[in-house]
This record gives sequence, structure tokens and C-alpha cells, in this order.
Amino acid sequence: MKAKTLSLAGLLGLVLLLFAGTVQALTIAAGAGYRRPLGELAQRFQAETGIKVDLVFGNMGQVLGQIRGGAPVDLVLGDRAFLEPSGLALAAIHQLGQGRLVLAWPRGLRLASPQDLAQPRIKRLALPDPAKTIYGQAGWQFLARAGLSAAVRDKLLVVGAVPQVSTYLISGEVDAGLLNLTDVLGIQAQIGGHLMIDPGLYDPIQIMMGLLADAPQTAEARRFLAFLAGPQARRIVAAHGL
Amino acid sequence: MSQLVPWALDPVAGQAALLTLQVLGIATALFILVGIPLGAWLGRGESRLGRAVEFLVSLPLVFPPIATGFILLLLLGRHGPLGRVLAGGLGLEVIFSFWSLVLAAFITGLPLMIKPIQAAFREEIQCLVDLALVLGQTRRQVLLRVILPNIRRSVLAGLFLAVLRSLGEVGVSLMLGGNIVGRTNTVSLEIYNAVFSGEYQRAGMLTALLGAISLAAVLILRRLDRGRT
Repeated sequence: MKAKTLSLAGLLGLVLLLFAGTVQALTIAAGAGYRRPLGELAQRFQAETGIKVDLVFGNMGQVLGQIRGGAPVDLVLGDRAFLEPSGLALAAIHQLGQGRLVLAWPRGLRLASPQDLAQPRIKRLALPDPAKTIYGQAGWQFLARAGLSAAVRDKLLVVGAVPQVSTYLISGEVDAGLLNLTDVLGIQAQIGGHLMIDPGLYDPIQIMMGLLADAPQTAEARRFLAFLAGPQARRIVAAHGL
Repeated sequence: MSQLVPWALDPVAGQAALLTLQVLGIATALFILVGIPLGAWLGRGESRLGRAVEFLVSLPLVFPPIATGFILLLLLGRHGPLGRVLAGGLGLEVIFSFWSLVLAAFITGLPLMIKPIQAAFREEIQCLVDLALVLGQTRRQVLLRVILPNIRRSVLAGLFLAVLRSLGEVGVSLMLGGNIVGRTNTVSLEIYNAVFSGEYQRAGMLTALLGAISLAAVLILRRLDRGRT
């Protein structure tokens, strides 16, 4: 009987300890396209400070909805065009870098310039939803400013999010896709290639990390922002094409 | 009540509902045409081929739907082995088309359709079939008078599970159909889209719509169940 009580108490203590461990965690929410760089940043930060980081990914609309709905998030990573009009109260902002639009194609094809999109051999062009994603918006602007809108109108395949473009590029289901450099760097080995779109052809995409005014872990969040300004973090960000 | 007005006027939702019903209609026919013979065959014999087929058919129950979708995409896509045959031989491109949604509904619902039928055949039906054959009934008579009446409840139970499962299908449909607005966005995918972009009210209304469709399906199946006893 005594042994039973003791082991129960031990179990309870263990459970409490587990909970105590999670309370300290810093929560960062981000658009799904930033999974790779943010994962690496969080890992490095964790190793350096011992502060655990939980990462939440989704598309920006979903992430912002979750935060507005009361999810306990400390920091949010996204682009200015979506974060600023969202009405979220931010206590601090860190400029992380610039998002870059690229044109990518599957294996077995080769595009020499964006103008090749007008050629008949390109039958399907995947674009993330311009109304919901920043790279879709940028892609739309690029097509218009490069004078390609009319030529690709019947080839456009508008999909929900950037990762879907990656999938169809890998499977060869589309002949070209517009998406961000960060995602393309992650799938480089599985596709034919990519080229950068002239940044003058779309509005600048400013990636920023915002500290939420009602963040549960303000002190830890500020440490993360300070970490982002350091040389190590800058190197990681640059390596991921931001 | 005023909330229902934008819902009723939402052309995307209306079109998605129509598409969902069309997919469901064809999938139901396929469940009956393919599911019953397949379930009967799997229930009767213990061949190695049968076990392999049963395993393959059951895989969508185990795999995350997005993985099932990805595998099918690689098989049926432009560069996939099956996709090339279909495109070359029949001029049929499955990916991003209406048929990709039918396929997604069919593949995810099929294991649920065949299991009850398989179980029915394992049990007493085989006995009754043998008895009827011994008593001199023709195969056709056996099928119409013995097999079908006896497995009716199992068929309806399977159909019930399969139809409802395919109604809520998102992962495979997303991968194969592309979630293209106005073409391959079923009600379930529209719910997914609405949640994905933070439109929770719209998601709620669409969920109610899906609930209504499934209620209708349940009522129809119930009626069929009571129709003849």
C-alpha cells in the first residue's frame, strides 16, 4: 500500500515536472514557407540559451486567426504586407530580411528567361493564391509587369499555398511554378532548376518578426529578437535565401 | 438567420456543393459495382492474391491521406507509369480533373465498403450458397435470391461508412485535384480553405452544409435499409 502511494506521488511529481518544463517554452508562429530557416534559428537559439522554442506553422491567414483567437504566441514571423494590416498589437519588430520570388521548373525542362513562360511548351504554371499568400501576390505583380499576364492566362494553376507548388514541381505535374527562394532551396535536388525574378517587377517582401504585445514570455522573446540581430542568426537567414 | 443569406448567395459554396454531390453519386455507384464483388471475392477465398489485394485496398486507412494522395500523384501524374498509359491510350488526364476527385472518394471509402461484405461472406452466406447449389438452383438464381438478399444489410453498412468517409475527404482530393476554385474544390476542401485562411465563420457555415449533405445521405440509406425486410 505504501509503495503504491509512493509510486503514485512519484508519478504525480514527474507529471508536474513535465508541465514545469513546458511553461518556460517560447512560442513562435510563422507562415509555412519559413519552416526551414526558423527551425534552424530555433535550434541554434535553444542550444545557446537553453530556452525551449515551440514552433507553430500554417499559412499566414490561419496563423493570424489563431493568434487573434487567443493562442498563446510570443513572436510571429511573416511579411509586412500581411502582418501590418492584421491589427495585431506588436510591442517590437525586427526586420529579418527580404523575401525573393523565383521561377522554378521540374526535371527534364530548362527555362532560359521568364519570357519563356509564353512558349507553348509551357502548358501549366503553378502560382500560390494571390489573395492569401504574399508570393502569390508577388507572382501576380511580376506577371503583370513583365507583360506576361495575357500569355499565361490559360496556363495558370492557382493553388492554396507555396508548398503545393513545390509538390507539383517535384512530381512534374506543372511545367513551371512561381514561389519563394527559401522553399526552392529546400527542394533543389528534386527539381530541374530555378531563376530569380527581377526584384523590380514585384513589391518588396519584407520579412519581419513581431513581438506580440500580450506575449506570455516577453523576456525570452526579447532575447530571441536580440539573438536574431547577431552574426550567427544573420548567416542562417542569408543561407536560406532571405 | 441573416447569416444564412450570404451563405446561400455564395456561388463558390453552391458550386462546391453541386460538385460534392456529383462526386458522391459516381463514387456510390462505384462502391456498389466494385465493392460488392470485391468484398465477396475477398470473403470467400484465402488466396495469396486475395490477401495482397486486401492489403493494398486497406492502405488508405493507415496512411495519412496526404501521403496516399502523393503516392497516387506520382503514379497517375504526367510522368507516372499509370498516368502515361492513361494519357497515351485514352487521352485521359486524371490529375486536376473531376475524375481525380472521384478516385480520391473511391479509394478512401473502398476499404470501409468491403469489410462488412467480406465478413458476411466469411460467415453463413457461403453455407447458404452451397446449399442452394446442391438443391439445384442456377448460379443466377443463387445470386438474386440467396446472396443479394442476405448481404443487403452488410452492403448498406459498408455503403454508409464509405459514403460518409469520402464526403469528408480532404488530403487525397487536395493532392490529386489541386483544390482549384471552381473546378475541384469540394465542400470539404472549401472548409479546409476557409480554416486555412482564418475565415472561421465561413468554415462554420460550410460545415453545417456538409452536415446537411451527410444527414441526407444517412436518411436515404436508412430508408433503403427499411424498404424491404
